[in-house]
Parts: sequence; structure tokens; C-alpha cells
Amino acid sequence: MRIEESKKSFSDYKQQIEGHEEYGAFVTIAQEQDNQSSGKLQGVPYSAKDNICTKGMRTTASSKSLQDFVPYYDAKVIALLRGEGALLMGKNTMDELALGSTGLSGYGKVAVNPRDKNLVPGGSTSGGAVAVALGDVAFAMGTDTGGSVRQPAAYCGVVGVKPTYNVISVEGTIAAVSSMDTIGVLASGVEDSAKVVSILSEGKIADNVNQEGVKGIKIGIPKEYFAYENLAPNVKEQVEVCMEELKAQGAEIVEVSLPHFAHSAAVYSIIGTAEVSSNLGKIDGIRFGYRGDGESWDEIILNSRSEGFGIAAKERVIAGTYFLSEDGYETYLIPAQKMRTLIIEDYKKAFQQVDCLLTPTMPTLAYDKTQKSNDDEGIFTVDANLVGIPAISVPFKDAGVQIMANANDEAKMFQLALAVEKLGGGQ
Amino acid sequence: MVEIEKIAQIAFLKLDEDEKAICQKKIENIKKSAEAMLQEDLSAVAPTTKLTTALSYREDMVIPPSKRDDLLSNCKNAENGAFVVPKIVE
Repeated sequence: MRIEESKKSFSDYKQQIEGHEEYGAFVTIAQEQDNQSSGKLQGVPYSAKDNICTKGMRTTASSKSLQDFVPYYDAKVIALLRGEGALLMGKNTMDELALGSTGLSGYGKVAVNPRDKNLVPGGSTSGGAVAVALGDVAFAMGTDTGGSVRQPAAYCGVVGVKPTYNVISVEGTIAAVSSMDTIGVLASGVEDSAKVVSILSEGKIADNVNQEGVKGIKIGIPKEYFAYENLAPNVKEQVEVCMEELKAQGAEIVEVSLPHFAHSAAVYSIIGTAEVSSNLGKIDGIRFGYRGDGESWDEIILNSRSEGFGIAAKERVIAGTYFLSEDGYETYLIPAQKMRTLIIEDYKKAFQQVDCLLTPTMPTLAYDKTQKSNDDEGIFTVDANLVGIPAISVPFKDAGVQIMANANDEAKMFQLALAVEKLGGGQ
Repeated sequence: MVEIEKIAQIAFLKLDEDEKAICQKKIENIKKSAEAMLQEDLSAVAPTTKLTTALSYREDMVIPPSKRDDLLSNCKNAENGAFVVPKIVE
């Protein structure tokens, strides 16, 4: 569903969403239209990941620990969309507390991939990608901490964009990794995603995508990505076809090097778990969220967290607590923060040579749900979060093509993304 | 090997044996993935704790403080405008 084609009534959209219950894309479906505002998105149906606070509507983050949490405020992005007349159709399923990349770790309902129900939808913004792929909403709001918008976009065949860090306010979202958390948008086309990002950036990002094609654009191909040992041959082949076609249209393809890429997964895991363990400290069962029984203050907190968190949260909180401990801090966390500096420098140097970087979004296509996930599944998406640069996943054949650009250069990213979308037969 | 029970105590988590094994494996896997990083000479590099490369500022805004009833609206046990918790002073 495209934004400009959104002409139906709230009840028609609601009926369609209810008819797709088997896909598990929604934790909560809005029961009545509560927005009569007029604006740039008037009457356009959208949904929001369930870690984005919605006034009066349950916000569980697909975690038992927040199963009954009803915010008394809207997240900043929800307020902005409300002001533009967009229709909030409900809240999307996700990996628990945005911690995962399969889309399967949420408490309660779990989304399935509309391409094939046996395949993982990708996460953590799984339900949002599924809702867009099904045409239930024109766009879905997500969060992207290490690829959580781009990964499900690639697996479900939709567009997923993560703008520059902090260009869109994260106020009112349930924090995971504060130095990387970014609001993102899933849509069926590049131009729609750009339009929503522009609105949410409050004017910092232009909403008109340059339609002039790719002639003269310098595209960097990071050699380390394409040499990654677990990159599936079919994904590599499809992205290389995309590169050749861009070259034929006048783009300049340049090989670049990101020498510290081999350390990205470790840096992301160490810093990510440390910040997650800190952020989830607020979930204690006292002021909000699931409350366990207990005779003492400590016992209530212990039982609330132990019964409320699933294993996805527990393993990260434990790992993060270790990396923040006396033993882990000096040995692992500080070196990881230093290596992050070198990774940032690598990208700065690369963007002195080229306008954009082009890579696969994921090393493989969506895989069977019964298969164990690869620990390095997000290897191609985490760098954009470590560095803070904008990145987008665009469907091309069966794969997702990722385009990254320099900080605050969304215009170039969207311009190239539109060209890739057209090559892939998209809108 | 990291002492998982000690870490769990700090994190206010109670883990069963399966969960302890999963957490242990998680930490060991991350430590293993970091081995190459620890071989690098990072002595002259400053750590990045927050991103300034892409910093974007917004206007400071005065917002009204939250109302007490709102703050208590998600609490499982509240009385007389306050959170009810067990006594913490003997």
C-alpha cells in the first residue's frame, strides 16, 4: 500500500488487519479512530513497533515484563504523526524488548514471514515489516539499534530505513542501547519512507527524492563485506548484479576498505549488552510492569525481573552486567569503545572517497524457522549504528541491498536507493 | 569462566540451570569474538562513549511535570497517592 493510495476508511483497514491475524503482525489492534487532524498524512494508516509509547494503548515491547503497561503519553514520533493526521492502526509484534534479529523471541504473539510462513520474518521490528509486506498499513514505525528495521525489511521484501543517529527524537521509546538506538521507518517504497522520515525529522531531511538517477554518483564497495566467510553465494550474486546495472547507468563503482570491520560484531555485542543491562535496570516491577511476589523489596525486584524477562533479555543483561563489572570493564568494554572510534574513522575515510556504500543487508536470505540463527546475522547492519550514519535496505530480486551514506546525507542515500528500487522492479 | 551466579545477583536475576548455561555461553562467545580486537594496540585511541559525528540538536522545551495519578497508573500496588512497597528499614 502506498501513502498516496491510502483512501479507505479506518474500519476497512481494521477489517483487513483482523483478517490477517494468522500472520501475527499485531500485539494490539486499535479499536477506534482517534485522530481527526489534517496534515500531510491525513487518513494514512500506519502501525508502530510495540516499544514506541502510545498514549492509552498498551505498549508491551513483546515482553511479559511490560504486558500490561499503558503509557500516559505519546512518544515524540507518535505525536508528530498524530499531528499530520496519520491513523494509528495498532502496535506491532517484535523481538522481546528489541533484543534479537529473528523476530521469534517475543512473548505471546510472534510474526510470520508473508513470503513463506516457514521462514523467519527477521527482527526485531518483525511485525512492522510483515504488516507493510501484507499491505495492511502504508508504513510502520520501528527502532533500529543494530539493524532491527533493515533486517526484517530485507527478509520480508520491503524498504527499511534508519536515518542518521539522533535526527529523529527517540523520546518515548523503550531504550535498548542508547548510543545506537534510532527510530526507523518501514514502507513499501523508497519515496514513502523518505516522506515519513522527513516529517519525523521536523524539517532536517528533505522529503523530495532526487529522481536524476545515478550518473556521476560514486558508490563504494567495501571489500571486507564481500569477503565475509558466511556471505551466501546467492545473495552475493544478486548484489553484484545490482552493482553492474548501476554501473551501466553511469554510477562509478569504487572498491573501498574498512580495515576494522572484523571487530564490529564484538564491539557491538560488548557495548550493546552493557547499555542494555543498564537501560533494563528500570524494569523492577515497583513503578510499572509485571510485579512478582515477594516479602521484601529485593525479593519483589528479583522475582519481577526473573519472571518478567525471557531468555533474550536475561542473556544480554547478564553479559552486559559482566562487561560493566570490574573484570569486564577494563578488559573488554574500554577496548570496545576504543575500537568503535577506529571503526568511525574508517567510515569517515571511506566517505572522503565515495558518496555512498553499497552492501548486502543480510549475509543470507530468510531461513527456516527451525534453523539456529547465525550469531553474526547482523554483521552487515551494525556498523551504521556504531558510526551513526544513515542506512536503508531496498529489495532487489530476493535479497535486500543496503545503502549507507555519510552522516546527515540522507538525500544521496535516498537518491541511490530509488535507483536500486527501480532496477529491482519496485515502485 | 565468569561466575554467572555472582553476576546474576548483581543484575537482580534468578536463573535456572539451563539459563545459566545459555548466559555462560553468551559471554564466552562474545569474549572469543573479541580476541582479535584485544591484540590490537589501542593505547593511543580515545574511547567513543557517545556519538558526536552525527549530533543533531533540538530546541530546549519546557514541558509540564507528570501528574501523580499518571505516574501511579501503571503501578500494581498504590495507596494514598504513593507506591506501596515492603518495609526496607528494620
